[in-house]
Amino acid sequence: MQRYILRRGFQSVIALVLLSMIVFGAVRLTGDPSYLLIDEQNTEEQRLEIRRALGLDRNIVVQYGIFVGNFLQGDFGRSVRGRTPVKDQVVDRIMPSVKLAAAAIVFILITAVPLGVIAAVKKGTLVDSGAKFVAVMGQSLPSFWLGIILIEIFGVQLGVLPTQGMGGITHYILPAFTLSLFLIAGVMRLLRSSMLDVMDSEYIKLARIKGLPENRVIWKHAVRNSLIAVVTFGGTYVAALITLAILVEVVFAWPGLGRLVFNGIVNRDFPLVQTLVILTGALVITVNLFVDILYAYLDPRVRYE
Amino acid sequence: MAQAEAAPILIARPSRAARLAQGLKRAPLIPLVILLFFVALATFADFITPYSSTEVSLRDRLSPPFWSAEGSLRHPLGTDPLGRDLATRIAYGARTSLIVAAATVLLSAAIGVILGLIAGYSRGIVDTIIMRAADITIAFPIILFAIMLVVILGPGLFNLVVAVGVVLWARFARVIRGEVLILMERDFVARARVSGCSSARIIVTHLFPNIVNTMVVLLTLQIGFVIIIESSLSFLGAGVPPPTPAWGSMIAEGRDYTTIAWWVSVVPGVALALIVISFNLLGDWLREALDPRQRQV
Repeated sequence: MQRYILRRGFQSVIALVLLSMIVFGAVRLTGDPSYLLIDEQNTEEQRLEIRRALGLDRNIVVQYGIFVGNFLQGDFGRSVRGRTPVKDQVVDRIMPSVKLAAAAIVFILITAVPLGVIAAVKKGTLVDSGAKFVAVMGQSLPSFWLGIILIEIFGVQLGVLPTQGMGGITHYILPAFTLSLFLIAGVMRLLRSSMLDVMDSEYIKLARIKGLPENRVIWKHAVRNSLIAVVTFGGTYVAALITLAILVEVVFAWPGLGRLVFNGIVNRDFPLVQTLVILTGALVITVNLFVDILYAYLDPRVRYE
Repeated sequence: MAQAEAAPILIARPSRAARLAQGLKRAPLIPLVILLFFVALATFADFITPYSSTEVSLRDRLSPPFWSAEGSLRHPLGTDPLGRDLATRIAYGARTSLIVAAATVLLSAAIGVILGLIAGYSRGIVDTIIMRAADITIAFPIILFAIMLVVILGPGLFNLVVAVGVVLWARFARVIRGEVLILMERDFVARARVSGCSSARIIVTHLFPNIVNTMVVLLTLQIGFVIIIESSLSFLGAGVPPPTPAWGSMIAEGRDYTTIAWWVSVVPGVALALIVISFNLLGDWLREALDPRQRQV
């Protein structure tokens, strides 16, 4: 197990290095990156200062060293608007995004897991067709549009739910639901098909022969093993959650990192966007590492591959 | 055991034509009709509508669709806050979406299929490098990567296609490689090699024809996904730059008017949902009809 963790950890470090190289290379696609790090309000002197600070007059290896070094020390550069440190903007926005994501994950767990299991157990019935309908809709409806429609219905027409910004617990309902629908569909579909595989296996037959009540066979024996399939997709789900959060936070004026990405687009604020890309990449790589370790822990066969 | 004693049951394998007919019977007609409708709309947009998709006409602003009390057939789906005919912009928006999606998917399929064939055929270190690169790209949020490239290069159709295409290849590479690994165990590959075929010839004339079905299924399923990505980026202002009509930016333009003119963002949203659902249902059907082994992908 330790060897597995070490090897997997090493792969994650390589992935991080590659990510930093891609971002480092992308900035240089258009030539001198100092033009990307300022806007028209900045003076030529400020641009030259950035050039010196980033070592742009020196060779590419030194430049890469400075780039990585700054990041590791938590110096993400300054935003083009107002020249405020990117780090300060990012730190303020972390908690709102984490809270929204947590609410969405709770939503996914309490709806997708029971729906997926019941759809598999009652395969071919109306419940199954209903679940399939939810899955198709969830994977096809664009989340930003769904959000606008929900705001129109629940915020404007019925006036029962708040639609903009953070506040009490009711502020979470619409954005968290919008954020979770795509993943509810994905988790449900995956859980249904892995439940169907598991229900066919020998140990489920054995559990039934032993005379265990059907409920216990399903919820204790079958569901626990089916959830392994869902765990393996954890990294993919986190990436999807981040993508959707950008859109949902814009629609619901949520003061999180997603809205910061949007500000980055509007102002063409490259230092901001670059920081968020690297931090997100690091997050996704770390989550994938933990998912793989968890998977190896749950399923010993993986460790010895 | 009863099974061992039972006489073997012979089932005549239906002819290729019969199987094709059987498959077509279960084709999803409604999604096909919807897709053909949008393709026709995109192709003949210039002939269908008397209006321009970009010309502003403030006198006609926010006119509702024909079925509401103040609506008229002059603008069947109403107009937007700048007085442009929504039906016209839907048609031109369909053109934008379909062109971007087709170009992106073809670009990523070209990269992905070639790398997938090479990885599966050569195995070893080449395979490891290609697949690790695929793992990393597949794990990264596509929209964020595209946003970064668009902020660097500036918005534009070409940049959008490249930005999404260079991330999406991994989905093709992974599946195609899996297929090739299975094919490599088959006798015809060994025979081709024994008879002196070069690697390039084996890949092009023996392996590639066998993965065409899988490629078609993936293409169809990814088109719906790319249309969502493109409209999401356009919604955020990092996709198709205005005034070119794109459904995503049309939805964004209608956001501030939902209380007084719901149709401005609802109409392009419905079009978007219809086309994506149709591509997904068609892809699901193709997957079952062409390639039963791939049901889990």
